[in-house]
Amino acid sequence: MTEGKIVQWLKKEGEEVKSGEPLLIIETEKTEIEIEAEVSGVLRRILTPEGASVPVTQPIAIIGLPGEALPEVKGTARAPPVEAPIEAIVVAEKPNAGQVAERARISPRAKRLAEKYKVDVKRLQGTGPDGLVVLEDVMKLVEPARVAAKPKVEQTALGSKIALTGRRKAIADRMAASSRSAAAVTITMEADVSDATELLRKLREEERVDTSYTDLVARAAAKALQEHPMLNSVWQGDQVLIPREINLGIAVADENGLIVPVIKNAETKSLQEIAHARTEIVRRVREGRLSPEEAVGSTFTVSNLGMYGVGFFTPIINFPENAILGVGQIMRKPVAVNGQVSIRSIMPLSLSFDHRIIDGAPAAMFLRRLKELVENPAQLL
Amino acid sequence: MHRDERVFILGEDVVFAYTFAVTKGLKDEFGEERILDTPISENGIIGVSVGAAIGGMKPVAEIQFEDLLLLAMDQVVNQAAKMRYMSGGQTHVPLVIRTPGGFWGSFGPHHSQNIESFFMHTPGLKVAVPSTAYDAKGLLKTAIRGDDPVLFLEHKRLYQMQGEVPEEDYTIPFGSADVKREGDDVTIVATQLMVHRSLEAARELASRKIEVEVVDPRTLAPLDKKTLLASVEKTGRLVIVEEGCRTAGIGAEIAAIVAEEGIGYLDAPIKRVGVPDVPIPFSPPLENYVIPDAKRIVSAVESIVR
Amino acid sequence: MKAESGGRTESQNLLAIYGKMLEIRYFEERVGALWRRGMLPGSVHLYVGEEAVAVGVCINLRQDDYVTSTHRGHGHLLAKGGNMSKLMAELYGKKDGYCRGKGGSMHAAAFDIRMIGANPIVGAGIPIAAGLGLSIKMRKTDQVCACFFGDGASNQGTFHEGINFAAIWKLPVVFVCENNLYGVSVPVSKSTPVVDIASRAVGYGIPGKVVDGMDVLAISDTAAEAVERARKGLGPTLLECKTYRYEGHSRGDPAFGVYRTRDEVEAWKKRDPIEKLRQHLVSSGYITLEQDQEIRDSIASAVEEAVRFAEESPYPPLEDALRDV
Repeated sequence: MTEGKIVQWLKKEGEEVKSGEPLLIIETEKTEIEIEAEVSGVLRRILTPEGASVPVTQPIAIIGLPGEALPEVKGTARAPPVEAPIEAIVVAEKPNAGQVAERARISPRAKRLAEKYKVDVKRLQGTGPDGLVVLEDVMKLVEPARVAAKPKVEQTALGSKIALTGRRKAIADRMAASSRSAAAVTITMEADVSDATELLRKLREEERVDTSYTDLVARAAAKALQEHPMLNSVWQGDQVLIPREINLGIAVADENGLIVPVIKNAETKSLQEIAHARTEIVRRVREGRLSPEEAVGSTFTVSNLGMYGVGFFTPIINFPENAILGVGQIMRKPVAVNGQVSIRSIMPLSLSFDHRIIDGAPAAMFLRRLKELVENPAQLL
Repeated sequence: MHRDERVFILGEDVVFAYTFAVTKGLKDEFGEERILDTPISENGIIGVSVGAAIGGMKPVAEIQFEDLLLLAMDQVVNQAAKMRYMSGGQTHVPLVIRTPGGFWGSFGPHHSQNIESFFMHTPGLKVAVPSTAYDAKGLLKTAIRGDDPVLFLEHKRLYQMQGEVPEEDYTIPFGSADVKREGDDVTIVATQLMVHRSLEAARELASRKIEVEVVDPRTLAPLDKKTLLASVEKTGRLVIVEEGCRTAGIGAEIAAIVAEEGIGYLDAPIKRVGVPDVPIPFSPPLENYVIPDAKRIVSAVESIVR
Repeated sequence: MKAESGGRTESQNLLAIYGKMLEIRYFEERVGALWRRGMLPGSVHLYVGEEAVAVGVCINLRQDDYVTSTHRGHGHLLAKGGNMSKLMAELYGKKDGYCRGKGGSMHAAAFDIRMIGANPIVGAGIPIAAGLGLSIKMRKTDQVCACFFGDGASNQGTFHEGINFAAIWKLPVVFVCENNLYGVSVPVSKSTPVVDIASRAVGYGIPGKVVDGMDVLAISDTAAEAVERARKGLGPTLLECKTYRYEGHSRGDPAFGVYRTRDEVEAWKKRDPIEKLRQHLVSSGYITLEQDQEIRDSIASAVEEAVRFAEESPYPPLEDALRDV
């Protein structure tokens, strides 16, 4: 029992009390019990009124002799037990402190990534427990566009100065590299997404899946890329690889700049699954906890600026990829449909591609196929 | 008990239900033919339950303290758990054994143990370890409706804990873990009271910008490996918190599973927080020292995050 | 003995008893020989010499009555009406054994005849028998459970706990103590402070009766009363049958020379229950010597049939090891 409630005082202040007489009734966690006085005397003062709850060992009344001077009784319980140090047990729960064997220098997860991206593990400084090399340490070498690292902004007399460090620098480097090396061409097309609009509305209502136009385009891209694999190719050194997996990068802007989380193996995912994956990674970006592996390995990127009112634009290819799709704002426009003027929802699509590897015709055929899919979305479920 | 008249309760003091009051009032509802007070005879209670079960009834036996189950080990481990197997499937033992375990506060070494690992290790026995009232109801119904022996471990400290429990009938399948809190940074696997201490630790860790995911297995046998491994895949870090002794406790088994089947997910060593290899002492400061608390859990998590 | 029992005439009864005892005797001797030749895995505990107890009790049981047993369970299983072939196959560890090879000699069970299994944990069957009695009472049928255990088990805690339960709740159980004077190598005089284990019944407020374990008809009569008592809901009885096993505790244990003398064994053999009944049957004109020989021959060939069945039966597939957990 840790606490009790005073239900009823059976004696009043000033009343005589004999040892063994019932003095009050208390309520414990289980039941009500009568408490007898342990000494005889006069109930000089009731410290805890009826209805109040007190912890065990707190004084609730004073029985004394008539006229006796009463001590100042504070209603505090006994001092809590001294907190025992937990270090002794904690030490037992730590792995061999400082005795990390050579082989155990790197965590399995970090090791997997290091092997995939051919990072020399010996170069790495470990920041994990006991100097363990962890995922983040590998990521520093693989993907400098880190999730954290706000750009450094300095206030000067003339205005703000932004240092090109961290993610900003990484973005800058990447954009420059892409512009410098790629023979970039952008082609455009319009897609009639009136049917798609209806489909998305239905999905959102009936199946409560938060599916957006981005998801639709991503799914269409995944399918079209399966049929036009050159658009899915990536540079590896001075060779071009056409991977089996289609990893879609979805460009997202957060407070620190541009970041491109990746939906892996989009070719195996349905529209709902893509929507789910996109929602998840965007949430993690917003919360600043995107795991580093989720920001590498894309083979094709989709960048949607539609929500900002942009129409057609010239997206910069996300090196080492060879193509990137820009999506603009959907506008209600008059179009000729079967000889009649009809108001339809029109989505601008801008495809930039590297002409060193991909020619105009294949790029156009890919884009046309993608447009077809977006215009006939039933196939994309 | 309303649903199936083969179900009956037996155990010490189940009629007046003095100790933990779980079966209080049932005798008035179902009569003394279905709520049976037994002599103090743990091995006998379970042996009789085994016989009643293979004779067509569905006994729910209560053992007054988990520690006392050790007196009945033969009937639990050698008889109940093995009958289906040894008879080549000729019979099965639909028996549920309920027992309060874990520490209460100065009940001493013989009335405070958590020996869930002994039974997780026993083939043929299912082990349920609910941590909330909602889970307890669903799991108990599954246990009673099943055909095989189930050990239903109730933590003494959880009897006072209140929670939402729907009025209607529902069951929770065995082998289905519950993520009690989502997080991206560290996975904590914990059972019974330790689930709540882990949640307490999680709140403290959140204020230190570490988001913990707390996975409650709800049953140790069968164990939901899928949920557990998916969580470690997400977070990359695992801490197991148990109220049993560390050596060869449930943490050892869970850590081995993750090391075998999810080694590539791990970005840090696996940590186990448990009672050191000692009996539970009587004196309050000593007892509180050995039972894992939120502080120790926080400490363990931080040691693998930085 | 009772003129009629289980719907049979007296002579049918006697012949049934005789045949069953012979079946057990021949089966067990054959099992012993097979084990010596290395045909049987593990160990076996033979019932040779104790046949009167199992048969004397089980002749009074119906098919739906339960029997719990010990490590020395072949006799109980066969006496309850078990199938020799399926039992033999189980001893061989074959798929067609009662337990699909999973239980073996010490866990052989035949649930179709409510024989719930040999049990090598000494005394474990006693509370289980009480539990079966409880299920009978709760289901309101008039079944009974016969619980066999040895002198050694009478010192286990479960003896006390199980009989106590049966006594306080008046459960329909007949507790049959097969006192063969030895718990493995320890004579009962060294382990048990009383000569008659049945005298412990007083402590539970139930009747305790001592019977000559080599006299099947005496056992049958006493058992009949106890079974009747149980069926009527009057509660359990403790029967103690003073009997003897001719063989060692298990097959690896010698019959005599270590903790028993040859003379002792021979003395008990002179009181052989089967021989005793045979003489009674022949001298009272129930059967002729030729008929006796026919009976023996047919049982012997049935035992051979069982051996053949067992040997031809395949081993269980390896996946069976993971089934029925």
